[in-house]
Amino acid sequence: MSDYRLDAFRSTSLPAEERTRVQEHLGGCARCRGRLAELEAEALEFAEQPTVPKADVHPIAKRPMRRRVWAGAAAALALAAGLFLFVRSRRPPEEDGGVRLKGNAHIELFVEHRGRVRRSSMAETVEPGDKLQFAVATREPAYVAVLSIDGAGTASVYFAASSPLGPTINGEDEPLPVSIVLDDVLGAEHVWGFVCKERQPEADLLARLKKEGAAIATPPDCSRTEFLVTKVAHAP
Amino acid sequence: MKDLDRHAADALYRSYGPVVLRRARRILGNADEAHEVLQEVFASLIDAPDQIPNNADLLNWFYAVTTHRCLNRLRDARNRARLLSQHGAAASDHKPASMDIEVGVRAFLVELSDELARVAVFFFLDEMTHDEIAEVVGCSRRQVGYLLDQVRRLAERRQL
Repeated sequence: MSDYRLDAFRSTSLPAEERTRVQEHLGGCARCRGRLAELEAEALEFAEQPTVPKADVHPIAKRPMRRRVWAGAAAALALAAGLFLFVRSRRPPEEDGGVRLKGNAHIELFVEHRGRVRRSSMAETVEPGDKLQFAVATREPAYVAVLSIDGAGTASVYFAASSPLGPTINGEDEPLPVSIVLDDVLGAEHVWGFVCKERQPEADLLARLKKEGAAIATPPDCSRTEFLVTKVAHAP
Repeated sequence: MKDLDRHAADALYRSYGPVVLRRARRILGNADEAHEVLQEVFASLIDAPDQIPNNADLLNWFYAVTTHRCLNRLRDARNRARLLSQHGAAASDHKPASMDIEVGVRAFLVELSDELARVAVFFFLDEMTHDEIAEVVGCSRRQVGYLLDQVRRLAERRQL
């Protein structure tokens, strides 16, 4: 199996049917499982890069846009470096104006893996016992919900706010009152975060998730964030 | 996507940065230049967010844009000279066969049209199937086969 197919598997871009085919192949192919683990380790190493590669040593005047990219990435890494310190700290405004938050509310996911915390990408590899912490960024009061279908196909509503949250300060992340210690069920878990103008009752969300499954539609007037969390016995 | 806020840029960087870097290293065979390509890709993405496709096509977009930027670098006169001298040195010094092949492939790529070079990268360096190449390039599987036949004929002529 090519790196391209494994990259697609790691992202959320693969259609459900194709994802199942890849999973079946991985179940019987040690070589591809090994390659997938290498790609995961590579991504982890990339995320934990303590220093900005080369952009910061270039004259800013020549490459102003590049600095903006790395400034954002570095801020994310700095946040992930402390154990949930982001919960209590506020990031200072970007010195150079940065890439401004445009007000699109969204959910963030942080993973605590073997004592280290990282901000999650859209696709994550974790292991039983890891902790997930959700956060929300919104410039307006909003109703937040976090839903999941785990590797065994069990639909859950992790959180459904009964009163509005936010606005968060400067539209930055604020923790949600929900963190999860992962159980022993291995496989791919889909997680959806909805940030909505109107309240989404927990029972309604659960009924829709059970009915529509991974194809669950975004409720009206909601923004949607999606994560694919793959739980393996030993994550890199 | 009309605007790209910091969170979205960070998420894309964390998710697809490793893919861009790995492929750039593989295509260029040079870690420093691969980092330059990584920077270029994400700077371009911030500069012109309209070019970013929807989520389902993101991986294909990053594969295509990385390939495009790497090929441009290989075609750069300075790199052409470096590749040609490396290719000659590798052949005369009896270095490992895999290195001969990779350096030879890069030297060969700079001689190809953009269309042929792209499919050659996907097939020979990424080891993608015809179906996968068709998906990324946006053409039929048959067209991929036709283009690869041309690449093979040219490679045979150069005794690669």
